[in-house]
Amino acid sequence: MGIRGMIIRSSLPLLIRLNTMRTGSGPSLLTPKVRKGVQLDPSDPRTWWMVGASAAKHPIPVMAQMYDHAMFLSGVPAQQFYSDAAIHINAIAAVSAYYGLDAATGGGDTYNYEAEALGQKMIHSDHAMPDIDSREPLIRETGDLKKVKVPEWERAARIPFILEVIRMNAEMGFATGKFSAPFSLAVSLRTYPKLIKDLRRDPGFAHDLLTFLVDEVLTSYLKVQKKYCGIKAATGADAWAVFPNLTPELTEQWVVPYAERLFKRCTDFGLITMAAGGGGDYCEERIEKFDKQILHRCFAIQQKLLLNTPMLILGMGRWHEYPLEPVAEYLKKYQDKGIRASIMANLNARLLRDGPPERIIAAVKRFIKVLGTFHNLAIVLANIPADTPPRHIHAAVAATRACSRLAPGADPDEVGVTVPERESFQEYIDTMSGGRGLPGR
Amino acid sequence: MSTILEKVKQAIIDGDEDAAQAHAGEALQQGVSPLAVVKEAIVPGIERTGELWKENVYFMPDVVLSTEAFKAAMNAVAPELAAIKTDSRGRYLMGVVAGDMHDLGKNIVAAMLTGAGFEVIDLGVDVPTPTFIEKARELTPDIIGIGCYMTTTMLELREVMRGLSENGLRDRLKVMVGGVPTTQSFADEVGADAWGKDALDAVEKARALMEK
Repeated sequence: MGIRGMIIRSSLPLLIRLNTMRTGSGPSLLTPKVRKGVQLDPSDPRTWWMVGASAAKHPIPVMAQMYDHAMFLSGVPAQQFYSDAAIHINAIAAVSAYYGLDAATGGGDTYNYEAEALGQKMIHSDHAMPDIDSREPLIRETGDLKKVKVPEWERAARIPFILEVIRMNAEMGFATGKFSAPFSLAVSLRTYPKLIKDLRRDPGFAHDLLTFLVDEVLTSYLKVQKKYCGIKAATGADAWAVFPNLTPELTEQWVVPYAERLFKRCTDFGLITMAAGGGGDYCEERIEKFDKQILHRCFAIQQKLLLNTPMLILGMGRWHEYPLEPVAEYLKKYQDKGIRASIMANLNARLLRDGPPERIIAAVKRFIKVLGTFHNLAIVLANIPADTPPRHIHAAVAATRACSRLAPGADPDEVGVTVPERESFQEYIDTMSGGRGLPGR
Repeated sequence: MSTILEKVKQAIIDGDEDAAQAHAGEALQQGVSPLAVVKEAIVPGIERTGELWKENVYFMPDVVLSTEAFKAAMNAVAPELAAIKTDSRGRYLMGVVAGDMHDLGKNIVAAMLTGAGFEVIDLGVDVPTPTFIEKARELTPDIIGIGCYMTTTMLELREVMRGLSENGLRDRLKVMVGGVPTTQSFADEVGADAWGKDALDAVEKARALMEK
């Protein structure tokens, strides 16, 4: 371990705490510091978002994962959206500005870049995000692992695209890299059923695979990201590691150790990694199976992946239906010490698509009422489905704004929320661009 | 139940595909009829897995391994089973729409439907709309199950529905939809007869559709 790595590791909890205190709201490490002093440029949608977002200071920020939705709304063909960084970022920035979001970050199909660069077969279609061809896994047999070579990252497959996207994100204020966390990357190369069999019947191979992915693949890839994009931290997406795709026991055994291993490897060259985008995320689909004990075990895992900071991610599950009291109960350990935890509270993708706006507004109010009075909250619009009606997103944003500055003791349920009657996205683009349309389209 | 059938069932519950295949073959060698292996061991095995999942005892990894063991046991008896005319609850044609390669959920649904007595014809993943239409016409299924697992490929599902209508097939069969981003609301929007929330729900809804 280098001296630099030792310093970063030992001072990390303090750095995060200071950062939380400084921003005063929202999960600070994951909330962008919007670039200020930017002039509005009709030909650059990034400025449309930056000018608006830098002027606003919302106690409860609203962020979104919305690649498919941005692509759909802006009418950019999938093959272009997922391979042309400028068009990708322009579409994301324009849609983020239209909705008045507090973050605008490109990224795309996070799970695919490394796998594709390693040689995994993909399918690219005109209308959908690129997808791993699970019929032809790169590591079909265990012996195939030896054949996998670390590519020259700067030139491999769509890595130049995602590097440029991350660099442009950093220019807008979000200097955080992105990667596929080790477990999900292993699934991409091996398929889920095969990897699950490996965990049970050939754990030695599973360890070899995950060790290779951390030590050889991700470490070298993240070094390149740091060099090219100027990032100081990177977050790993790990949707295959959510509960119940993995049990808490399997997550402890197969996800946490490799996240920690990657963290140690990367701090040696000055990069903080958090492979927390999935592991320990409670996503039970059947509400009658909701289990507080499992939820709390998931939270405990998540906190390890979040470097033991006072943060929680209420991710892709049915949080508009789960009881929220068990979340407050879990966070009481912080509240009792006067520590405000940072919570990324996701509005479920299917809720956002199906609506109606009243139901979305009610979900926002419930988050704020139960969790937002003491803790720092950020509302996240989870993976907005492609054809989600924009009015539903406006409703989520309006509800958050209306309820985010309440007097102590005030009840969000008493707050009236009016969904603004907005122009269409196309009309917005025409106005902002002076009739020239979305650049690159 | 005989010891060997108990072993087949347990291997499926345990998700041990090698044991499931070996014990199913052994049962045939002992003179147990292939139909008995299916009805008394393989189906009860996958049904028990479903129950354990409902009870929060089993989770996705367990279900996937059980599904693989189920398929292995079925493969062992398939050649002999083919020679016997068996009653089917109905013919179920299924596939995942074009541009979508996700097959995990679809494979579990296929196994559960087979276990429930349906004759399942699985078209696989990335199935173009014309293939759905062509196979629906050729194979005259009672139900067609269409899966999509990405929010963009959900839109493709509308094309399949349109194709079925334009080709005069829609009124001749029932349509079920499923997949992570789908909801009852979406199923209603596209005019499907049922939405499968998960594999067990899909089986219940398919049974109900056959009784209509």
